[in-house]
Amino acid sequence: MFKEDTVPAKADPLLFLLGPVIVVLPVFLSYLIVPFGQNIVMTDVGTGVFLWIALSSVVPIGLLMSGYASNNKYSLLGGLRAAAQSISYELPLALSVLAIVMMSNSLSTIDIVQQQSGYGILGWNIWRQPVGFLIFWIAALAECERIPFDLPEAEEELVAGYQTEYSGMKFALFYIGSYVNLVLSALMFAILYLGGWEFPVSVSAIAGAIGVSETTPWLQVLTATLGIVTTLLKAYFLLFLAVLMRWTVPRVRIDQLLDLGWKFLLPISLVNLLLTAGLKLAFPVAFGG
Amino acid sequence: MFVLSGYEYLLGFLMVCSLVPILALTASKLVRPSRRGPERRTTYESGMEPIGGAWIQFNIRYYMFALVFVIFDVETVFLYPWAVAFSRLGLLAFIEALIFIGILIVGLVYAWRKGALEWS
Amino acid sequence: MNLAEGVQIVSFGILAVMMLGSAFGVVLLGNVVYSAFLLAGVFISMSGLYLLLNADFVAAAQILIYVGAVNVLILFAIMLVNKRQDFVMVPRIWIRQVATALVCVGIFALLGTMVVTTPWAIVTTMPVGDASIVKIGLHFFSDFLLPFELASMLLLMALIGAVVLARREFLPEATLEPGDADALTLPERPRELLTTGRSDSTIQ
Repeated sequence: MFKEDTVPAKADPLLFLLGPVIVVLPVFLSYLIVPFGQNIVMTDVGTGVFLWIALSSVVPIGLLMSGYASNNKYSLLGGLRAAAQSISYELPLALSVLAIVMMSNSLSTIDIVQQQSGYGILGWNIWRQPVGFLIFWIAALAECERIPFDLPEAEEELVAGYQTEYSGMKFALFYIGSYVNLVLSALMFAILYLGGWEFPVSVSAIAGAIGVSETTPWLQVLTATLGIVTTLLKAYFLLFLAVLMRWTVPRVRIDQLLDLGWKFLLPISLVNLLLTAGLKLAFPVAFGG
Repeated sequence: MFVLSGYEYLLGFLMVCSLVPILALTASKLVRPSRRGPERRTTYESGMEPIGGAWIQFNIRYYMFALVFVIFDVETVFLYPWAVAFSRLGLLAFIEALIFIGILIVGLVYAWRKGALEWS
Repeated sequence: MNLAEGVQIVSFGILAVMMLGSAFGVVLLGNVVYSAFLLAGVFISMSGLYLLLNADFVAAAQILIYVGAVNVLILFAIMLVNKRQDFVMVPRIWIRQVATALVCVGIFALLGTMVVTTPWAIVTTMPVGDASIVKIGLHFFSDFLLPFELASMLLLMALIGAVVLARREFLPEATLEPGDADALTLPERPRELLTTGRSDSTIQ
């Protein structure tokens, strides 16, 4: 905050300012639909995860804007690359989310978690979507521009990509946006595949075993607290995985990146979606009837 | 007449979220140092004097990817209602969606064969 | 709980002003990149208006397709042909301007009469949230099945057409411009990839 804010002389000041804001805003807005418990969610809108997908598709505009406004070759190249990467991985992401939506018959995040509840850890979507969760995780990492997919800011070739000319608070906005987005992706992963706020062992089952009624006030408070803690723990574990990957996996090349997205993940996620639909027809009980 | 529930929070949250960058930028504007000189404001190009502007012509390949993306993005939007309503639709809808996706896979294969998805 | 009446009117006003303002900006501004970014503003305010009309799925789809895909495509296209060329004065430019104005006024009149003559009925019981999406889905696979399948054919044709056009028009041009390429060698050029390929796959 105390850093000097430099605007390059040849840059476009208005777009230069708007770029980071447009990158950050949709990310924050997406937290609207993240549930931490049965009733602990800011709002349960009908479009749910679709809203998240739609909002995340606004980010490339901001990236292109800041890349263009900097009037720097590295920035513009970085911005173009970032936008190309983000649109390439949006499709596998959306298609793997679609498979989950199909199993829960709803776009609402609350319904998606509730559909996984009841059987403890065995009811989680990760068992029913073994391919889907891998696609989702890869695509989410690529959307967040994490290593191994941090091509837009590949230091060796593009200095810092679209962030090259940025300094001070505007640079901080990019960084905040990037990390908040990573946390958001981890939370969404926990919600979609790891049962959200559900504890690995079904709480109501334990309560039933001990003989405590579900309407007991202290039990409800306990369940709510446990829900928040569980969601955060799951997200934290995924963040740990992401940071671990950062130090173990080398960066891919841009052609490899786009090949992976278009020629591997997209066909696989389409097949995964159709397979889910077929399995749902064949075994309606196991796949959310 | 507005009947959707939950979107009043969207409006409120949008306002709160827009405050974050505004506050951050104004606060930093108040306290940050400001020195001005022509050298500080030159464009970075690995320490060299910048050669030419950056607003130059770029690669066609980005455009091809964006083109294919638009098509498949529209496809996924069409598939959302299908997925949500699938449990009430049954086998016939599955076959119909199979045709729908199949036609588009033909397009993907075509683009692939024609090299629209090649980087180099 | 619901949005208060006043809030709705105010947000409608803001959205309408935003939309008209950015639409005029798109047309009147000289810088084509500004126009493209303002177009995103038009699309976003349109999606806000959809939301005010209880069509949340359409609103989200509007953002996803128009802002996320179409606008990015337009921006890519603009940055592709991003040459600061001065506009050459076309002789008899007023003929073109008059023709454009006639076409625009004609379209506006057509749409205007349609809006006025259509007997709009206000639906009182509308499906909300998930129910509306389910309803769209049910319609897609019953009475709107043919349009649904035709849409995929349309998308296929669009894809093939775009690939054919883009390959024919742009590729020779892109390779036949050594003047730009020499001064500003970009790492994205195919021949550069061979040299940079080794360095950027180094382990961090």
